[in-house]
Amino acid sequence: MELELGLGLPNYNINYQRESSSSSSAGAGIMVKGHVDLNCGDGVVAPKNRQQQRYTSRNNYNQLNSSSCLSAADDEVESKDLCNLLLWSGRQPNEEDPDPNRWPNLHLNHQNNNIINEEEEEEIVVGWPPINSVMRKELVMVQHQGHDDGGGGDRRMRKSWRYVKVKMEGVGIGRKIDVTLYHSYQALTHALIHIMFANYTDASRELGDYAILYQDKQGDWMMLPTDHHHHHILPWEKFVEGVQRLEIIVRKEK
Amino acid sequence: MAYSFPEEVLEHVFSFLTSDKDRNAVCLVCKSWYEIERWCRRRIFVGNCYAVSPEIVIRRFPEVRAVEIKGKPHFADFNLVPEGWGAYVYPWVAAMSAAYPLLEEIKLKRMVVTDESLELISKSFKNFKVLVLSSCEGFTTDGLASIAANCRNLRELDLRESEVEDLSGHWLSHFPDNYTSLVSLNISCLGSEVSFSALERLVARSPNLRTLRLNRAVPLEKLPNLLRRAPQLVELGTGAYSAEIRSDTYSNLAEAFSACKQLKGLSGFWDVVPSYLPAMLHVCSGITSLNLSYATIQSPDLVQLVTQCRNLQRLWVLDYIEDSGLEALAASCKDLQELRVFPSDPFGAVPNVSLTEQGLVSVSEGCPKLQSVLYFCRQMSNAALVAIARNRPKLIRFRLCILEPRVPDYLTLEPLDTGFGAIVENCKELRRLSLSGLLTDRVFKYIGTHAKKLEMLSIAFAGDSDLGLHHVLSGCESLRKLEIRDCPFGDKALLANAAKLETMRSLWMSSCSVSYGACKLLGQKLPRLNVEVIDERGPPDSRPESCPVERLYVYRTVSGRRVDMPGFVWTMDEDASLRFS
Repeated sequence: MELELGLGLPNYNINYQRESSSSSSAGAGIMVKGHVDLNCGDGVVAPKNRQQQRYTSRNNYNQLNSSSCLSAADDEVESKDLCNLLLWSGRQPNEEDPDPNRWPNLHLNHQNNNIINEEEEEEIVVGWPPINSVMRKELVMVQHQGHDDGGGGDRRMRKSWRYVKVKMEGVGIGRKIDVTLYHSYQALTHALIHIMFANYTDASRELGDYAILYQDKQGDWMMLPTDHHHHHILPWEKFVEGVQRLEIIVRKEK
Repeated sequence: MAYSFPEEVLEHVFSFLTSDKDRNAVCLVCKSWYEIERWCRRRIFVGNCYAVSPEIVIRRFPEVRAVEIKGKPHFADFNLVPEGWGAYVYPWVAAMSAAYPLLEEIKLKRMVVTDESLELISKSFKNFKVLVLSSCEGFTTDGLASIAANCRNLRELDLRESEVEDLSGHWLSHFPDNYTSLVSLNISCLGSEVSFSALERLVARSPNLRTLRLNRAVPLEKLPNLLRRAPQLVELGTGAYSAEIRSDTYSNLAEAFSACKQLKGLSGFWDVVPSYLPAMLHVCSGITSLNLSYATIQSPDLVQLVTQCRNLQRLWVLDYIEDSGLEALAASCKDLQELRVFPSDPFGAVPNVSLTEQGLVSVSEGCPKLQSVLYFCRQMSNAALVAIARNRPKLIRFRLCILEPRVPDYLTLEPLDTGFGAIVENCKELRRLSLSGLLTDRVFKYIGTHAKKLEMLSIAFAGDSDLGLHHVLSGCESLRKLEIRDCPFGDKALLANAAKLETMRSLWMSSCSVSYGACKLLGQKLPRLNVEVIDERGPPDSRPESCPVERLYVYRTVSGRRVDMPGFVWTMDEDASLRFS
């Protein structure tokens, strides 16, 4: 669906004729060229699987903007092109499909996760959520008592934090979790299974039915250690430093 | 006309017209009515300080007594407007000090106010009565000292949520000993301690004091001293609501509260120690406005307090109230008109309280007079929104903030289009709307189709294409303020609806896809708009024309381009291309 609209100036510019009956309140001349289907119920220019669009931070949006800067300067960006640009900013539509054969060997399979070369996202979204600075300072003091960073600012308030992406197999929407909030593998596992993805996990299953995998700095996927591990476990601090992302899979079918 | 009413009679008739809209209509009747009206207009409201110049205002309305001016765009509250953008009040004060010696009231919002301005105010207007500085900045307690020292007839000094540089607490002592006309004092935003004895004496000699909002530094043990001297208080903001648990402190407090038979509004409540809450229970039945935005109390104390206030009309509270507390609120407070629920842990990845969409649904079911909502939560469903819309078709303000951007309906994983669509379709009187969650262009189609009374719309992380913006600009007939961030809206919709922008106060777009070229075109073609590009990456000319601008602020004006722009703001107008070459 193409949206082609000319410059809609107020009536005092007599060169423009009112062609469309759907005028705006100032008696403006909306010059409508070509085919505009304003009544189409699905007036959406969107990637195929709408609900699978990732959360993108402001920085991602700037990536989108800068990529359009680098392309040849067109006078008008076609909606279609805009659509393509939007696709590029997120995952490919098919990427989120569950694939039970995905993890035959834990140390392989980089390709599924690096299709889009996503740079390290800034986890800072300026001015979100929309609370004013007075309240922001109050809440910072309340939530992080004991830290000496003082108030103000956005998400970036504690001295160290580490947000990594978490995906659960079969769930379209990914999340982000700050691993520095936790002190042990068990606490992290509990938070992921019983809190963050509580809507998707079956309460009748045990923790052990779910496996959590993480990708380390080298790009390898490893199992998150649990209490059942007897051999050498990566110390928690090292894990926090190196973890890039997390994924939850269901180990066995009921 | 020989047989028309004498001017004095017309003036008298016009004096009953208080709304600007009515007065503006009167001016259009004929030239003589225009003239008569302009000489007797006493109150001026300037919604955007750059829409008109002080000189133009003064020339048209020579006998003004009260002025209200707003400065920065609303998104400045969330750090989206860089420091130094503008909204300086000094030029206004300077012009008015010469032209309006009888000025009595100045109310400012989101403006930069310097100590110089405050001093000039205090010395220029002999009959000065009311100073309200809402979310302002740029002044220190020295400026306040000038006001205290020189404004002999001051009635109201309200610093709500302003950022004041606190040099010392002694400014309060500058109120002269024979100054007794104080009616309203709000110093809740001040960080440091004011001299308590000065405060006590001030309160003691202010028999007309109705509103007293203290700052955090005023200790709870001292509150009874103030209350005893002002039992006629209607609105009280406490300081820190904490003290060592001592029975004499408690009984003092309870006794002092029980003497305040007229209290209707309460606020403050920093650092609450729950054991002291029952001291207030006597006054709860009269309370109509309760602001607990800083109170970290939880159930059951929080719920007990709130449900005791059976006549509550306005409640601002943190999400510690949870769904269960809101259900209790809905059962007890049938007069509730306004509810604001703020997030206690807005930056946490994992919910810390059990507050969901259900709480809001309960309130919408139980409170028949509910008209104004601001709700922060972590999950929402279309079903809940539809229920709320059906329950409360008389909603006037609906602002929903789902903390994580682009979150879908958590039950169906669909966008929240139908939910918000139900809100605008059912709530025909809706004047203000803020959207959040996963939203496609469809929601904007609903808004454009149904939200005919909508005056202010806030959009973030929503929409798919220019069609979304087009629906809003072409459909929302009453739209005055539109603020957008991080949406894929670009040139087409903006240019196609350019004329619409002259019917609105302002448009803000940040982190969208509006190109520099489109901004230039808009600025050139529409001389009655100021099209300002705010970009911290350097001059827009240093990048291709198709490159999106960081921020765009468009507003109508009769004063032409600003002359006080900082280095990161560029106005697009006919001369723009000349200036940049």
